[in-house]
Amino acid sequence: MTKFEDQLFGQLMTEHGHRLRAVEQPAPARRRVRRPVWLATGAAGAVAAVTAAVMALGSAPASAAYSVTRHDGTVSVSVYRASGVAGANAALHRIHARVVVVPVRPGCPSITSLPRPRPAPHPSLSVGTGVSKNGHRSVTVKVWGKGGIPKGDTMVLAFSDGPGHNSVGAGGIITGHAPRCVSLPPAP
Amino acid sequence: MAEFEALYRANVAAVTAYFARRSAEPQTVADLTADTFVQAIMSFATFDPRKGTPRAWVFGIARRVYAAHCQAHSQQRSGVERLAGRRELAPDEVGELIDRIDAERVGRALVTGLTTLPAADRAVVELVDLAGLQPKEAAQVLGIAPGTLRMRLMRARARLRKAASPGLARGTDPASEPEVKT
Repeated sequence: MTKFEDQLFGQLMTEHGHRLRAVEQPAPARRRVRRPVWLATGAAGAVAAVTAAVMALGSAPASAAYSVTRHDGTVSVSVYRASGVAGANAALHRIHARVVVVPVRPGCPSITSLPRPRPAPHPSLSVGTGVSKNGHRSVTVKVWGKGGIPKGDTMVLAFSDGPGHNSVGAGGIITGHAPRCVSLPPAP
Repeated sequence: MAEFEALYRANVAAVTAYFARRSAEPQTVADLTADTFVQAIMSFATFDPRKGTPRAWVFGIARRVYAAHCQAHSQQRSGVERLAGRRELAPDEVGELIDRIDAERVGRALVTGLTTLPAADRAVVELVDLAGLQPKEAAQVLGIAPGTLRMRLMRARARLRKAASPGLARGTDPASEPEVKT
């Protein structure tokens, strides 16, 4: 390549390479979540996380509608707009992560009414929330290995969109299949 | 990342040449090339190789980038909204681009000469005879059936032969001719 082509490639990677890294990566990848806050996934904590996600502000980037990044044993998910839900779910399915993103809509089953595993999930099962490089809320779920999602269970991530608050939050572990959509409990 | 790099390396020269046939300004060629690959990065997740080759996909982006550039010019906007930040070119990069632009002088003259053709025919000739795309790839870029493209290509070449200089009328490759008289 010429110097121009090499320099341009370097500039592209510096300024826009994160968009490529945001696409699903099959191998352990660079950690994209900053300022992680690890939460227990009890019902109360889960609802709190979802509520916090709904209130989170953010503007969608111009291109990708979601990002799914696999780390060592965990997966980080961001959804920037409603059109990214299907893509995020497809990416999660491809890597066999039992994590489903479900849109929040009024009239859908309440997230608190979904069947929870009995006994309760392993206490070390954890969900982290953070902010991805592009400023969006991201949720990191421990999927595989010790403390991961128990077999037969599914982690539901609730995606809520609206003016100024497109965001995904941890909805909690459920038993069986996730519904097509969920509703949130009224704010206290 | 590696997949995109391979796509970039395989196509950046052709894309640069594509713009060098349209502009003799090194900075403009550099900006349009950069915009094309920024756009490619932004939509790389949606690229489906089953629907066409990487080259066809990249050239489809390049055409849209150039169309937006022309539209901005025609509307005399004070500045085109750049997808990539304008980068100051180093002197040797400018030199490389000038060499590229000079190398495309013939192609640029031909593109200018092609203006007598209908837009649809012009695009076909340029993609196949100048950019070197396979007819199937050019059909993908233009969103038309390969058979339709072949028809347009035959028609356009016939018109060019008719209108061209005696040398071109003898049936030589249009891309190898210094200019096309119209």
